[in-house]
Amino acid sequence: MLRGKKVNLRPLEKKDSNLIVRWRNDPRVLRSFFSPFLIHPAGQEKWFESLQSDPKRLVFIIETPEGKPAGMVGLDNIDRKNQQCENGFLLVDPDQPDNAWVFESVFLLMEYAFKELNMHRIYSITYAERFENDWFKFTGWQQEVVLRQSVFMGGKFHDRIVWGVLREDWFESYYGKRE
Amino acid sequence: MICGEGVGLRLVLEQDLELLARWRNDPLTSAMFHSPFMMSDAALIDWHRALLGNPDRMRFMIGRLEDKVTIGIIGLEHINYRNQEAELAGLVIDLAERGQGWGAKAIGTMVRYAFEDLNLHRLYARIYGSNRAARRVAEKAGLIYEGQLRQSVYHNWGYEDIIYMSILREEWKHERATATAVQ
Repeated sequence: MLRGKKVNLRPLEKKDSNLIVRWRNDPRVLRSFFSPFLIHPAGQEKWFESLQSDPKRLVFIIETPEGKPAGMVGLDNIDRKNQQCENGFLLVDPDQPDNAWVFESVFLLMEYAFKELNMHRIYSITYAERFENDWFKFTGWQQEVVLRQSVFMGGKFHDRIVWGVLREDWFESYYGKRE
Repeated sequence: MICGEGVGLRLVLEQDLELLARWRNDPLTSAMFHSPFMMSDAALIDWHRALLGNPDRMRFMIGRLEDKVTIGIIGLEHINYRNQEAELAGLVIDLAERGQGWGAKAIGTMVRYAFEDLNLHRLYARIYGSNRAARRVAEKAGLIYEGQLRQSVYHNWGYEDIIYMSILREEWKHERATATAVQ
C-alpha cells in the first residue's frame, strides 16, 4: 500500500469490479474518456484477469483513510528498456470527486514509479480542454505533443495533449534541487 | 448509462434475460419481431454471450429515469466503421408502456449516442410494411423513408415489404438546431 496524507493507494482487487463498472458507466463521466463504450461486468472481469499477468500495467484503488474506495489510478505501458510509462487509468467515483485526492494519488503513483520502478520518464495523455491542465503545469509536467483532433466525442473532434515529465524535473519540483 | 430524455440506456445483464425471454415468447409483444422463433433460456444465454463479444452489435436495456423501471430494449446492428453506418434495431417496448412516447425517446437517445459519441454518419431501420407503429415512431425520431424491398419476407400468413428508413447526421444536427431555435 502506498500511504499518503489524504489517500492511500492499494492494488486493485477482483471485488472492486462492481464499483469500477458503476463509476465507469456513470452518465456524468461518460464523455471524459476517450472511448464511448459502456463496460460490462463480464468484460471487466476479463480485464482484471488480464491485468494479473501483465507486467506492463499496474492498477491501484484510491482509498480514503477510512478505507473507502474513491477511485482508480495506475500505470500503463510500463517500458523497462526505455524506463518510461504512462500515467493512466484515472477513474474517480462521480459521487465523491475530490481534486485533492486525485492530486495526491497521482503524486504517490509517480513517486512509486520513479523511486521503486526506476522510471526515467512518465507521460500522460489528456483532452486539451480538461481541468487537469492547471495542475499538470505546476508539478514539473511539460506539454510535449498536441495530437490534433485525435478523438471524436460529444459530436466533435478534440485535440489531445501528451504531457511528459522527467525524473529530475519531477524530483526538483517537489523536493527541490538535489545536492 | 447513456442518458436521454427521461430514459437511460444500460448494458444487458444476465438478470435481464428473464424479461427478454418473456417478451420474446409472448405472441403479442413479439408480433412484429423479424425473427420467427421463440427462444429457449439456453438460446438466450448464447445470444447474450455472442452480443458481448461482438464489436458490430450493441444492445441496451431502456430504463425509465424517474422510477428506474426497465421498459424495453434497443440496439444497433451491422455497425460498420468503414462506411460509418449502423442499423437501428431490436427496439422492443413492454406492452404496458406502449403508446406513451417512450419508443421515440429511446430512439432519440440511441441516435444521439450514435452520432455524437460513436461518430457514425448514417443510421437506418428496416420495418415491416404492416408495422404502422414502428413507422410512426421512426418518423417521430426524424427518420425518413428511402425505399422498400417488396414482399421480401414471409410473416404472419403472407409476404411483407421491408421498408427502409434512415437519418443522416447532418439532418439530425439541422433538426436539433432548428428545434432549439424555435424554442
